[in-house]
Amino acid sequence: MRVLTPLLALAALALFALSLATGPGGAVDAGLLRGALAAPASPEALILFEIRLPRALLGLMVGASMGLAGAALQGLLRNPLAEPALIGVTASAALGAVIAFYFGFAAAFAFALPAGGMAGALIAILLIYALAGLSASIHTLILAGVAVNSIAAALTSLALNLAPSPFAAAEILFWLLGSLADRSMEHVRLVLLPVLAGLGLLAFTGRALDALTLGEDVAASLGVNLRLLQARIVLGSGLAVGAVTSVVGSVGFIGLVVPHLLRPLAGQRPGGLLLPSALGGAALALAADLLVRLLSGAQELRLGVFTALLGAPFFLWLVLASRREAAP
Amino acid sequence: MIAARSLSLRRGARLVVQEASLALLAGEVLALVGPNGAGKSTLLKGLAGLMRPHAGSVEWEGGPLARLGARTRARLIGYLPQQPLSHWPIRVRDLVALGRLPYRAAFAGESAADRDAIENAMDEADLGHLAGRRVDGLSAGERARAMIGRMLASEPRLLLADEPVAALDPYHQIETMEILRNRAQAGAGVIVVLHDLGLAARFADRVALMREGRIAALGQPGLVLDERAIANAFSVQAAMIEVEGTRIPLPWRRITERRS
Repeated sequence: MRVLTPLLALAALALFALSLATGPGGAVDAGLLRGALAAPASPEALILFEIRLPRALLGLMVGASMGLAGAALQGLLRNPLAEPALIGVTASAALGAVIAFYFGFAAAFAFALPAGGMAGALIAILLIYALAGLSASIHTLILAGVAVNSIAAALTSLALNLAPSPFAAAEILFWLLGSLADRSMEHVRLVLLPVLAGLGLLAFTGRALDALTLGEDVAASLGVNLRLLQARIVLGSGLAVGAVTSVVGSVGFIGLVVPHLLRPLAGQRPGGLLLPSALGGAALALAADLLVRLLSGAQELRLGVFTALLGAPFFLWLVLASRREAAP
Repeated sequence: MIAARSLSLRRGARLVVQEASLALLAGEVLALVGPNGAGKSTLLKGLAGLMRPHAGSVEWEGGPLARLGARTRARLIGYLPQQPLSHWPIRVRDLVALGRLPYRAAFAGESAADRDAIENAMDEADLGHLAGRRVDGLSAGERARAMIGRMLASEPRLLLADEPVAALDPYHQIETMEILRNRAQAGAGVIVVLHDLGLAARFADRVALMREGRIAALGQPGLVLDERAIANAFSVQAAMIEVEGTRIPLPWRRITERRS
């Protein structure tokens, strides 16, 4: 479908604009936009550029990172159930942030949390390379990801277990749920470079992933360097997903759902799925964040909770659909 | 064009191919035959440059194959694995177009040469009417032909095919062998793994008979595929039939005494 990519780009753009125009209660006020653009020093401008713009930009980056990393990983592992969390980077970024929280760094300086998260993600990438080595084996990569995931989850639980006070534990848990609220342009600047680097690494893997459709031997015979491909995808997903996770917390399922939904529309080719998945992920993250604002009452509904609520039933549907397909 | 010099290949700790030597000429069809586990597929992968030799070497026109860049090698050598698969249900034309990857620059669309090569390959492999069909909706034979089409689209100078006729009915078996023959006629080299000794005798210029990792015999089909060699290699007694002047071996009964 040739119209798919422009259509998704348009949707992402429209949702981005809508996100800028939507206030905390879900009320759309286009007047604020006009006021802010007319007078750069006005309170409206402050709200727009310091509160809403970072939120929308982070939504864009979270969605694009998750969608693109999910599509690339599904192509690499040739499995529609693969997602960014599989290589353990999400859990490790969360662990890094939790450690920053736990030892009080977060209270000491504002960006200890994302810095801790990014350190966690980088350590995860290094660990995966140490475990999976430079072998081109996909199996080892998955096993290394599972191991890193388990270790990070266990250590996060340990931090919660040993938390100095119930309030600290609650705060850690709450942060883990993932949210775009109350982030600043500083956060955006912090993650911009790793996200762009990660997305850049992933964006050029399309041809190789197409070749990999025919298996590793044929891909190699068509000139694909499998080790390089695997290294680029692990590093690219790690950078982009690790960075956004360290700033917004865990936002799951976008990386699983989006490529899966778009695959039939994009003609099944993994290379043709990359750009649509990035755009579709951005659109979905922005839409989910809009709905979160709309549905939130006194207590903020967390974005990560919402995407999981959307994602889990989808997962179930996937299982049922594959069972139907397998049935004679 | 391609030559193996005392080539030994390992899978894990096991030496699967031992000191295999052969040289292929342009325009020649060489059939690799031998019982299961003789090392045919491994040797083919070694010749495709997909395995690092444990000992010996593979040469392309006198120089080491390993020294060619991956892209150059991909244009020169087409490789079709045994039971080729497609992990995603892409369309037949997209599948065949994958054969053009070694020619395409990043993000560039298909060139006129790409489109011609894809069209030709689709015609040769009898895929024209299947172009828009998804791979998962094809019969085993149609899928096998789509995979052959993919290899043809690369316009390689050397075609390495591992049991390309295994899933095909007699009509398409003969058609596939004719496709490979035609490519040889046009100057390409062909090495094809076959289990059908009749097809090997009929379509190959030379036959390499493999046994326990070694090339036991290499030469014209009439010389390599005689009753004794077949009995020794396959533990099968073959009847020899003459059709249009070609002697065709027909495996007839197992030789059970050898088992004891």
